[in-house]
Amino acid sequence: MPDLLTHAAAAHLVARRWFPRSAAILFTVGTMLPDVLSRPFYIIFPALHWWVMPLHTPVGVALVCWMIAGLFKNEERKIVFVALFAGAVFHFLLDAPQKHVAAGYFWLFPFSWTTYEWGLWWSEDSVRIVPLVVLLVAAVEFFIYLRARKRVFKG
Amino acid sequence: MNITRIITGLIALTLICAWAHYSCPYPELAQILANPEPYAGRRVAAFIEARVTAHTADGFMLDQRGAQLQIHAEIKNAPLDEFVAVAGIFQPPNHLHADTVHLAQGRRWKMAVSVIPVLALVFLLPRALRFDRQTRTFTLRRNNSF
Repeated sequence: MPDLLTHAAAAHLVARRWFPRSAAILFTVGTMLPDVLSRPFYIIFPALHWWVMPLHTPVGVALVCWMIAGLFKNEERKIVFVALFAGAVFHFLLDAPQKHVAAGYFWLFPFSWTTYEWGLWWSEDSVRIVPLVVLLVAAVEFFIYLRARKRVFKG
Repeated sequence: MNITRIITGLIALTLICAWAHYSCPYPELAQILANPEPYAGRRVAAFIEARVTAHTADGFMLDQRGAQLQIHAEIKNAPLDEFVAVAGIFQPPNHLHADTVHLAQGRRWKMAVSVIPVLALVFLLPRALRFDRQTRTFTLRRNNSF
């Protein structure tokens, strides 16, 4: 995985375009879910690595998104599930270009232990571009703010 | 709140998590060292929270949850206590001729940086969601500031 800040920042930019404002935050939550559900547990308790690994797979995260959607009102469950799971898929898309010494990402788990990744960079390499990512998000937010202000003055 | 859905989901998650643990094709280092002969001459990997603990004449010592492995590698003076992932040919009782070594320099920064968005979400989520006590369900706020 790239670091969670890069994931969240990229999701924040994408969510603004794809989802209604009320559901955009769920897209960002969905983007963070695969890592939040698995990483802290096996970093603190390495013996749990394989126990929590399914929570970083499409099937495992889909189950969690489906359960979270069950906590919402009936008429909102669909948009909640779609926003969360789309966020998780976006997370996996950003993870796909990485490389590992062994055991990358198990996209087809529990049906197969096959791993597939593009092998372009190591997972911790993203930390180097964090300042750039933060600047990019700030610039986009500033641009949107200026455009909205201009619209208000014109109106 | 859909209790049936949550219980069904939890059961399904428990099953796939147990399946992952018991059917995982990657043996743990402790498992290999406890019974090294079947792994002699085979390619194995150590990558789960493994760290460099000491330097040796031809590489370094790796520790994974107390299991120690002597790594023969071209990398000299690997930073002590650094996260590392290795793969190579295993030789009993505890040697590995590594063909791939990755020192995860920057991983601690990555962990630290990753806490920031989690904290931001803890702050932002209550502004985006509302809990309805009567129906015991969450709803999305239409005019959240996200």
